[in-house]
Amino acid sequence: MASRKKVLLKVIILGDSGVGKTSLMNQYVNKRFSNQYKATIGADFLTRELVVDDRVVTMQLWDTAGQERFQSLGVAFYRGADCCVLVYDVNSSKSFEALDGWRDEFLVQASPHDPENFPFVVLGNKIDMEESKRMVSQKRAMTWCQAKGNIPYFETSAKEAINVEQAFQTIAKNALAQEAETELYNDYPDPIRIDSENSQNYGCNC
Amino acid sequence: MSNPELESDHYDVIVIGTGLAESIAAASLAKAGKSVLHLDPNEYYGGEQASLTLDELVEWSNNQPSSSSSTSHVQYFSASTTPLDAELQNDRRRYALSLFPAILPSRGNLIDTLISSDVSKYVSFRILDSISLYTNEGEFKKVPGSKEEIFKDKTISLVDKRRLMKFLMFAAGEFEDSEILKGKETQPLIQFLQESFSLPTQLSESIIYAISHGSSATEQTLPALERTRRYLKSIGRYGNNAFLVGQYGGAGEIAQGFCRACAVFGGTYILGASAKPTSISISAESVTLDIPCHPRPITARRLISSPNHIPPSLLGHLQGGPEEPSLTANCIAITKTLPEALRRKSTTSSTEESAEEQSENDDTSLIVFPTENGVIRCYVNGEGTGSCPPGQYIIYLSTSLQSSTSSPSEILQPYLSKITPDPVFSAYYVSARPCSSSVPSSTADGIVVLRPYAGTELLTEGLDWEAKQGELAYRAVVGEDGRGFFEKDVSEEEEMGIEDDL
Repeated sequence: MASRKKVLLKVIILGDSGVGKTSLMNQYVNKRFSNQYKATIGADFLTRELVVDDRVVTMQLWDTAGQERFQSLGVAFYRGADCCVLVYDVNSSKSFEALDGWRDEFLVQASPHDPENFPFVVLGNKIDMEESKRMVSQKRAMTWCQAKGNIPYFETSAKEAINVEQAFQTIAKNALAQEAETELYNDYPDPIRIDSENSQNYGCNC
Repeated sequence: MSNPELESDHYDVIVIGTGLAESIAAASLAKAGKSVLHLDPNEYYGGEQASLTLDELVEWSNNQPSSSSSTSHVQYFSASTTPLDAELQNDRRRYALSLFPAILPSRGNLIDTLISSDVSKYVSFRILDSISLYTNEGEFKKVPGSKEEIFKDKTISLVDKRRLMKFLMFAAGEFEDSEILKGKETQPLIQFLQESFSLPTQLSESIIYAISHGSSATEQTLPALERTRRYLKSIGRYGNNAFLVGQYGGAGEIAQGFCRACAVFGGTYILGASAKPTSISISAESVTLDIPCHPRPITARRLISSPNHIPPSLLGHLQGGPEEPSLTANCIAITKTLPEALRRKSTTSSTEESAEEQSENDDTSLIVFPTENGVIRCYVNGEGTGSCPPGQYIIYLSTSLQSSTSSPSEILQPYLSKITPDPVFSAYYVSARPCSSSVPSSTADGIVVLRPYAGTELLTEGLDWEAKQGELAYRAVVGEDGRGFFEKDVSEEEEMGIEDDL
């Protein structure tokens, strides 16, 4: 990547309903947390600019928009992802056991060029709850991550803003590396995006 | 990843099928604050407009009946595919093959809807690189798309260039009140072009098939002119061609964008067999249906669907008109070699534009074969559309069929071989589209039926038709006095204003 063109990273966040995907995004981008759970309504993607390895990058965090509830995320959602974040709730074994399925789903739907090396990051969320409620030990989670090709693992709390910054910094760094990879495959100019601003009327040609 | 129950037994609107029109209707209603449950019995999004992976297409083909049986909804039959070799099998998920291959005019209902709904942020396009006509001499001749290209074209005489320009100015303007058109509105277009603009036959045919994108030289002049004007006004909006090519198969990808928008506004999505209604009934007040994944009946004020998901008894007396459906032969093929029609001749002198880094040959193209039995259209998508692996091309061919017993491969294969001598995969099928008049738009109070496109210009008109159907369904639900189609909230307008200030 010789050019210094603006870098846009697409990051998608997967995991069972209620593990805190939207809350993590909100904490990271808006520094906000709401204790009231409602199934995701109105969340689309959030963007934040940050500096990675001296480069300013724009990270787009794509929420599932609730379409994960009945496994109805379409292939379009996965296209062009530079990093996939898998989230589970450390107080729910079920949400941890679902990670395998989400990872497989991602690899099938997104069909990355090099599935072995595609960057995933795993977040064990809700570590602010009392210890007695915890169902998945750090060791168990780390063993799983190692077995899947050394996936970076963070234990987070969207509520208390624990480890959220660090986790997303790693996500951005790994996404940037992936983006550089895919650039090699793509020598086409950027596609056209339709919105009112780039609709130019450079005169009728007839 | 286990299935939870639905949160509610009642919705304002249930939409069945995730075709483009259905998805637009669902998104617009969710945006207007309606609670929406959106179901699709298929495992994939897009319905009639789906983009399929290669293995999905083969499975789809295997599931189609051998002959058509219905006149009230779109049907596919006589489908066949060649087998997948190891390489195709391995790359099968890297293809996005459209069941609704269509290009998008840069002005029209769908573009307007993409912009007003902000769904434009989920989808990306390329400009159509070229339009070619297959000549009597057996050559692919690029049709000039703009004023500059017409002047550069050395094969057209200066006199004819003037005539052509005169016609294009006329067609792009307010011709309704023009003296030239008076009394000739229903005249065959070819006659109008030759008599009123003195255009020679070959140039007239170029206009009919590659600028107006009609199916017949004898189409009535007025409707052809109206379409032509919209295409001419589309030139220059996003580039030097009137049309955009949706990435990853186009229509199916756009439909998914609208579904995401609906989900963002709170719509609920269930796909697959567990979302297939086992019963649908209507009463004066509501629609009730059962689906396998929910333990209780679900009710809604309104049901929106294309006719294929509605039991025939509910389609009522309007079901199946006397008219025969219109039949189209279709081919989807893959090649690993550059089709000759996409090669850029080195003779066309480079302009300033091409100083920028550009791929050497066309990546997307529309190729028209005018034949005695009607026009055959070929639409090619290269790797830049994201719908196939690098170095490959997807080729779509289609033509109107007179008889349901004709074999689609017998008709289209000769034209496929003119485009590429060595396809690595091909699928053929016939689609039967009901005539518009035989599909009701609203049967009972509770059900809004979306009409499938019935004309012969699906390639250039199909997407805008779907957008219009989606909007009509929205209006049928909210009523004339309801909130506008994708009307923005006051707070959104303010938010946008604040962003602008920053």
